[in-house]
Amino acid sequence: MIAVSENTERIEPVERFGFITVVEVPELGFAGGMLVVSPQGRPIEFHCTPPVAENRTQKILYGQTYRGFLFCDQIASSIFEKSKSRPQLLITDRAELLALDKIDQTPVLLLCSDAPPEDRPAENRVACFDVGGERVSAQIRDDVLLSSVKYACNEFTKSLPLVEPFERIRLAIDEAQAVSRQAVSR
Amino acid sequence: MDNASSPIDWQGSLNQPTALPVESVVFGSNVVAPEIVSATFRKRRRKVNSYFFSATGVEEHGAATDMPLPTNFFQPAAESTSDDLPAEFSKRNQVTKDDKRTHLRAPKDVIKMGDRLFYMLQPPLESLLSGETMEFPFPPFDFQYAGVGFLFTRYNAILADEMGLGKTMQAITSIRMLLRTRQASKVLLICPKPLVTNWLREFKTWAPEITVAAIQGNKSERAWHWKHNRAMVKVANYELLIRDEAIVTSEQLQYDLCVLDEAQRVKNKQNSTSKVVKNINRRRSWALTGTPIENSINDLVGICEFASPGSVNQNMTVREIKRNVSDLILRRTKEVVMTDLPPRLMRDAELDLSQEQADQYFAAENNGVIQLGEMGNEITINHVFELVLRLKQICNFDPVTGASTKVDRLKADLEEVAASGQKAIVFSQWVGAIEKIADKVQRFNPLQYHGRIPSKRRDPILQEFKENPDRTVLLMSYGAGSVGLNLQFCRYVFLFDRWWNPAVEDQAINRAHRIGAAGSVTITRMIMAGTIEQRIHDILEEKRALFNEILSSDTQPTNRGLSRDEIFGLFDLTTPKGKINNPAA
Repeated sequence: MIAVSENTERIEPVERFGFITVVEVPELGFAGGMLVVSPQGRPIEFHCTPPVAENRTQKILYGQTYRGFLFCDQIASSIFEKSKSRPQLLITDRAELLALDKIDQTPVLLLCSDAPPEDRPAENRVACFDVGGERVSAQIRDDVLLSSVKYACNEFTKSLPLVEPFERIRLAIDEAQAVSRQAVSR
Repeated sequence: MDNASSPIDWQGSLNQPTALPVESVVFGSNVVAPEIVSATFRKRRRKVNSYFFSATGVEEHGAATDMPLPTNFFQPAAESTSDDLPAEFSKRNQVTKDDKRTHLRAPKDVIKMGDRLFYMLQPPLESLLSGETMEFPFPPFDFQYAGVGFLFTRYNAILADEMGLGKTMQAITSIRMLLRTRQASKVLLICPKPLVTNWLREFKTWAPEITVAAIQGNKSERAWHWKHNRAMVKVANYELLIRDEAIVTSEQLQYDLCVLDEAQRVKNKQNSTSKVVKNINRRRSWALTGTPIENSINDLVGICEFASPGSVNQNMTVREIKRNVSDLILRRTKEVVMTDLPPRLMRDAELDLSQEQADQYFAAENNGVIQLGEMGNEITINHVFELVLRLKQICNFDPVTGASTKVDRLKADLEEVAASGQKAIVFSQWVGAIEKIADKVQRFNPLQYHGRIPSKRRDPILQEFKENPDRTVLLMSYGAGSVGLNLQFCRYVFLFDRWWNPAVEDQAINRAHRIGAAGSVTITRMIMAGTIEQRIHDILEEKRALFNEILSSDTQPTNRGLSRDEIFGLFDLTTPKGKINNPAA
């Protein structure tokens, strides 16, 4: 969580940015990945799950909320439990993961520009702003917190665009999958 | 419904026996039914693979990582701020959303998943190398970032980019990164003697903070340099390696990295240079060459003996060799990566011999062939070579009168070059021919650059050629001028006579046609029609096509220069073992 001093409202710098996403692995399900990086983009932690297959029964029971349940409650929360140095700010490119802020109280930002149309946030998101050429939305009602989030994002994008760490996560998940496939084929 | 034999639908799944223990409670007079019933179900935790990274590598694998990074990873050696940088460079400081990004990839020989991810999860090279962290005089090209990523992550590597794509810059940047990250502190770079000053200059341009020392002087001075000079990078030439073998290969000298420039010098694993370089104590071995295969696949095997000992051998099939070196070699061509490089315009000037040359040429050829024929089984390839060289010299100049159709054509072309304010390089294989050409093109203020020019005088000659607008033409020998020089300000190249090997000709041409070329480069190959030059030209063209095929397909490579039979075939002769039925095929 980003710390904001009550007396001075001075914003503490964000030291750990968490980039979290879920990718579809053909025929196997969904794999989650979270990369925690320094403000310079250097990796601090990386967590990933093996692909989780969709459960038909749960899909029926949860209906339209199933993806949210699978991504947040099943995949992301499992990842969170493994994290040693919790990120102070979470950034995702999956709209379903916006609900993570309920689980961890960490501000969650959604990158909109590269998200597929069905993942675009509803218009009632509290905050929408541009940073480093990216459209970002978040459910942050606190103005001070919102300012600190904007500041942190702007600082980060001085060296890297917000979409870049997701490329690394996907590469790493692909690598993990390739190794698993090789192991199985042996 | 038979649940055992059909898929379970949602109703069926609700009817499945629960895995939870069930305790039945009968509500009655003693037990009051509750208004609300709730149950907490334990969440199912998914398996998670976790990797924790510190500044020195993968934490869960302990401190012994292959890639230890200090806390000041990629921080500048000296204080610098983005305000000090030129505007164009500051712009490069920020990697924007649409910029191409180059991610480090782990070499195949890195096995542990955590170590592999440590490479892959680093920020893109463009970010690591840009702006405040590492300063460059010019923004590198995308393919150069990829080349740096390739070298930096490898202990064994061959960078085999085509000439002119900036192997020097990529090697220096990779060395710089190794030094910055303290993965290396002692680097030995070995190159041909004429290129030592070039490397020193390039280090000054691309990595001014790195201390570089050339190994030179008399025996005791060199011994001091080898043993006591504390420069981060030592630059030595191939020639002195053999003289200093005892010191270079001694146990006291340990290098974190040994780089061979123009590594085709060690293609023959039996030669003295190859034996010395293989015995240098080193942790990393990088070879730089634009021509990993000059004559045959064995050239590549020879280079691998240094770069990755034991990875390939001569008994392997081409397919096996290709598989084994697939992660070892990176080769890009200008055609693929430099689509915006100005075009290379080849034109063959097919000329007729002057009357004097023709008389001499055909007399020499006829007599020579008769003499070779009369030698019978005594004939050797050297006898044929002698005749070929003799005829090629006559194609250049009539030995009696000095008449030369080539020079006449050259003078006419140089008029155009000079009139347009451009500069030209003329290549010949003979110093004697260069001196004769110089006499005949005096009005263009020619400069000469060849093996008879002392090393100390060579750099000033190049400087003079570059800076003095009155110096229109530089006459170079293939031997001295074909590698490592940057002459991209020249728009014209003349091949006065032809070298045996198309790779050497390409090297020569690429002195001018390389990154930074101001415009199209016109290459004129002078060929005397109906002569030995025409026959050699035809064979070389076939070889050139074959070379391109070898490096881009699984085709069985064959010799690229002229083979023994091909040389005999030039005169429709026979080898001692019989008639050549299919000459020059």
